[in-house]
Amino acid sequence: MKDAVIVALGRSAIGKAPKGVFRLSRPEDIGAQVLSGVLKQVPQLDARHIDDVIVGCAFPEAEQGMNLAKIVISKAIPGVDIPGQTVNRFCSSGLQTIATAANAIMAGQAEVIIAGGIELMSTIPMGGNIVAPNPDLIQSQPDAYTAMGITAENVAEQYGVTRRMQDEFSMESHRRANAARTEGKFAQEIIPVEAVTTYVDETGHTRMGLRTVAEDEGIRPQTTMESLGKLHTVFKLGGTVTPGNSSQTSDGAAFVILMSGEKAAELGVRPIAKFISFAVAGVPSELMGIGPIAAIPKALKIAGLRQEDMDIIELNEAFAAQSLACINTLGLDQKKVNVNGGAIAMGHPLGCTGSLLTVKVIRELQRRDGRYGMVSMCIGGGMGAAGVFERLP
Amino acid sequence: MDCINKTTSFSIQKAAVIGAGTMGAGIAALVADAGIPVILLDIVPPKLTEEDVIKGVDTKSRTFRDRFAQGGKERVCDPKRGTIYDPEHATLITVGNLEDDLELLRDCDWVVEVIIEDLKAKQDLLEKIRTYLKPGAFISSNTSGVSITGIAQGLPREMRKQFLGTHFFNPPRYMHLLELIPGQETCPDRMAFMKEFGERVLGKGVVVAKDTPNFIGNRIGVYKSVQTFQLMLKYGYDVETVDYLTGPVVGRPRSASFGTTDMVGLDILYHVAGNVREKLLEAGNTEEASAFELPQFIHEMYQNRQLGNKTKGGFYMKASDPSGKKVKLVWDPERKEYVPKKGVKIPIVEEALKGRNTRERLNKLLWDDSDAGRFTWESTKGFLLYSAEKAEEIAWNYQDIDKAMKWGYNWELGPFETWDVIGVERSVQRMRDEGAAIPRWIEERLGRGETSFYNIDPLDRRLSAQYPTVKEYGDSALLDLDDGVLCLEIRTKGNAINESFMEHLLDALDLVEQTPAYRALVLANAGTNFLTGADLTQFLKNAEAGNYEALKESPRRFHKVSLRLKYAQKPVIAAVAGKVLGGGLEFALHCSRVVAHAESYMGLVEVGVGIIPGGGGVKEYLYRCMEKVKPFGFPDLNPVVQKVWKTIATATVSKNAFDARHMCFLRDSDRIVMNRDQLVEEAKKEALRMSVDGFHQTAPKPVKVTGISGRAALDYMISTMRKGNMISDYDVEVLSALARVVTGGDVPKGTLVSERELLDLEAEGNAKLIVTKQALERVRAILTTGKPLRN
Repeated sequence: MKDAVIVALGRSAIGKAPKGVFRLSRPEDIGAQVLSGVLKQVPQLDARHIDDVIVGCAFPEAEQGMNLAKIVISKAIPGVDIPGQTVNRFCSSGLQTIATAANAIMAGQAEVIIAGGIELMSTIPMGGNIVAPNPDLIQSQPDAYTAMGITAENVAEQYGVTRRMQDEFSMESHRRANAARTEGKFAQEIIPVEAVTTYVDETGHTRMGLRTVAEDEGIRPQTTMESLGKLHTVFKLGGTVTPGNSSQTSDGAAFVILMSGEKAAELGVRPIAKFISFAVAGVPSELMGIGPIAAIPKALKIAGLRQEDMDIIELNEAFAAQSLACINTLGLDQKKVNVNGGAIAMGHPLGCTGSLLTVKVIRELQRRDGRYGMVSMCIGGGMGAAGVFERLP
Repeated sequence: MDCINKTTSFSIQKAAVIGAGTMGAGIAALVADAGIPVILLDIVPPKLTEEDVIKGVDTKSRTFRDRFAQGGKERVCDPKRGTIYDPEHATLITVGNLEDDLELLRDCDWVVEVIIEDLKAKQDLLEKIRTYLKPGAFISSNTSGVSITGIAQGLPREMRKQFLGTHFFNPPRYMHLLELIPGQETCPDRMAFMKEFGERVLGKGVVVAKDTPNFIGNRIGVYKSVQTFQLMLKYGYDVETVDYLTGPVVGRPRSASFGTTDMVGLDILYHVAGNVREKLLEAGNTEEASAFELPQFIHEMYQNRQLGNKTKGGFYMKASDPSGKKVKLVWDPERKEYVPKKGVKIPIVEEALKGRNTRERLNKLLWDDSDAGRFTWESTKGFLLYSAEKAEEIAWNYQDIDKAMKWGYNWELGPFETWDVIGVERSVQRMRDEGAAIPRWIEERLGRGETSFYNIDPLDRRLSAQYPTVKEYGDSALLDLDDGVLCLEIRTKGNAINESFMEHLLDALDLVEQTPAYRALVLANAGTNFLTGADLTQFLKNAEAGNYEALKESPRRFHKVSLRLKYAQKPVIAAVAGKVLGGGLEFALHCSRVVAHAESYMGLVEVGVGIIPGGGGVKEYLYRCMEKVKPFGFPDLNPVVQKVWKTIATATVSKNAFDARHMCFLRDSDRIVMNRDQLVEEAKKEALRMSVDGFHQTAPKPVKVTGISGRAALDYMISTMRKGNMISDYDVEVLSALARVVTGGDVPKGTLVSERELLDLEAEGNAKLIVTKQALERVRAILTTGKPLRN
């Protein structure tokens, strides 16, 4: 089997949704700008040699519909006929696209694939524009549609994660993210993009303008245990899960370019990392937050690696409750998990997150000369996903 | 006097308010709510704030220059404060400042200044703006005490006829009274126009006052306040006891004397009392001036800034005890400290409070030979005599004094009405016996054998006091509004819908439809509320007796009435005001048209008693909302259905009639009336209009529903709320039953279902709910505690 290597990677800054910097922008426009930025990192690559573009999106409808991938290609690489597919596995979509691309390359069915994820939750809210559950299922298996916040409450109860533990974890997420931002770490992975703004001109008419966005919006260095403690639970009366210890709703896009080892050598491109393994696993939908507990061992087994071999783990912080349940159950080393903060501080743009975390994990492996890194997340409906990457020297 | 224009040729298309304080901004909001664009101006702030400096705001920026007006507008337009009826009306208010924006006044038909209460300041302002005013514009000063003729002196002669005093009471949306005060040279036609404008457009109760110190309301009202303070000292009463004696037992609001002062602000009372006193002293009237002399403890409170609610403490103060429990403290003027409220009870007052109305209560107390009785007598006597003495000087007729006190002070009875209620002859005799001087015109009336001021009982607020009765039903009456329009006046106990009322309503409908001379029927209630829902006592009786068949049948009777209203052969107009809840709203929804007072609180609140609306309300509300979106052919009706479901599921009540229109409880064709007193007449006009336009019976039609697919989306929400402990198991039953009705039952999405089918779904849903013990418990809780029970 061939090697699938990552030769370029980048992400947009993560904006807050629904009222953040990208609220007036189109998902395809933000996605196309990130894609173009990633392509620029590999000037040797002739666009005509791109075999496919795979875009993850959790709610691929309306502005994110019409096969988002193909629309993004048209905007980013006009005049070249490149195929594209949009993939939905909710919160792991952005990791799934990288795995799918890597698998095709490893199987020799493609040489160059761009994979990533786009989600502007400002544009398409959680659950999509229309929630239309199946009438039979809602009666016979109502848990099949358990709301995310309720699953977090369920996990907190079953795994004994207290409000205080969740708030402390969240506080630490903000602290780490703020430190990383201050050290300029995120500037190394962010591709600045133009976002739409409006202003009123001297004649009183509303006009559209553009502003460059290059900094994450969600990080709150001023967060304290006291401020987190004041927040009310929103999903369950008398529960423990608050907006402060849950991931933020966000807007963002991230992409990586994968190619076979041979293709990289042929083009004279230096590979940055190698795709090692990927696995998904099912868990009860009302406890979807424990997905990584099932997926991580599976992905490690495929890779033939142990948990201790991982230098860095990006574990998506859907909720502090489920993150802690996973960390404690698997015995993950907190010093290696989300070293630069996670979704509680930076945001969780659903379908983009898998690609975003891949970008983060590879850049951090580079910074600390680490070898193996892992990306993992829980997935709505009751799943977990995990992927392993190896930094190439 | 030169008044070329006739009343009919005046019009106010645009207004301006100068001064954006509480009152000025409140007036601007009221004018905007009446649909009139309004300019709101205030001065440029004296200097930049520290925050401005940090933010880089300079003195040239509009942020700085328009700050006062902008701030006033934001205060009244904040949906949370609820000052403006409709936050969308904010677009009608344009802000500016007195340096840059005087040009904006050029097309205003009415400019009212609401700046500080100072003659010179007011004259200076008018001088500053007068060259910018539209020729012939109305100019007015809003003042509670400055002489209107005095202010007018500052204007050129030809403008004085355009000038008058407009004295609104605070807050202008809620206080009904508007005093209009002509200056010596004000054109009478203009006064007549403004009176009509104030009543019809702004919805106020207008009283024309003479240009005397504090005009009518505050002259009498403040006299009464100061007199109460003085009597308090004489009788050695404390604050709490005085309020106990001067509240509902004598037909005044629960806040009584001191509570009301806390609401208004002691500083206002202080300045208004000071103003009359000063004017009286200037006029050499030292004796009357002494009646406005505030006692020492009031001066002290004023100096200490214990001004009432605005300073977090006045005569009363809210505080917490060490355990964190909220307690109400009351000022003890002797000890000069706040002490806990003790809860006063005096036997004779308690007995009087049992009276069925103010006549019984007041007479019981007033003639009693006890301290409480004598206090009440003395205070009543004082203000009756003062009102009588001043009547000619301050008002054009004594009826206006009664109106001013009812509308401006929320008293149930004005002084002359009070006099009628306690008996004019008897009370005047006692006054004479006590050596009081009786004003001559009172003696003359008595001499002519006129022993009452009114021919009707002032406590009888029923419409039947104004219109002839065609048929008397007891808890309702059919009245003749003339021109072929009948009115069913609702008088049921607690404004509830009982079985006999429904029969009478059907009978009235039959009569109107079968009598060729009758053209339309108006439903109205002269009380505070239109209808507050089904009679729960009847429900409780049946439920406790296990009379389940009767319970299950009751929705069918409601359906019958609703359908008769909807498919009436002649127009049926609901004239609604106040609470329009549950079955009351269901009936209103089925009427040909609704004429609603702006202060209408509408909601389908049945879930509070554990059932769903059973009088066709769910069905009709769904129709309403679907009709609204039908022309646009939206492929997805779920958001509409979810809105209908949520509004009923959360028992949301409209904040006012404009809000009710946004909620689709009112159609665009339904009318909103600003003046409660004109509601029935406006409903009658509407009835005639519909009749003349060629009314025909509505034809039944089906409605497109979202079916099982739409219901699944609602069931998902219900299940999420249950998992989140936000609702109980029984709530799940109620909300699921509601979901089944609003989505049209077990049919695929997009099915057209008939009205009959939806009504059957409503009845089926309620048949299951109405017999549960949870519904019974909820009804019992409402009837005993007045609060909804969650079970």
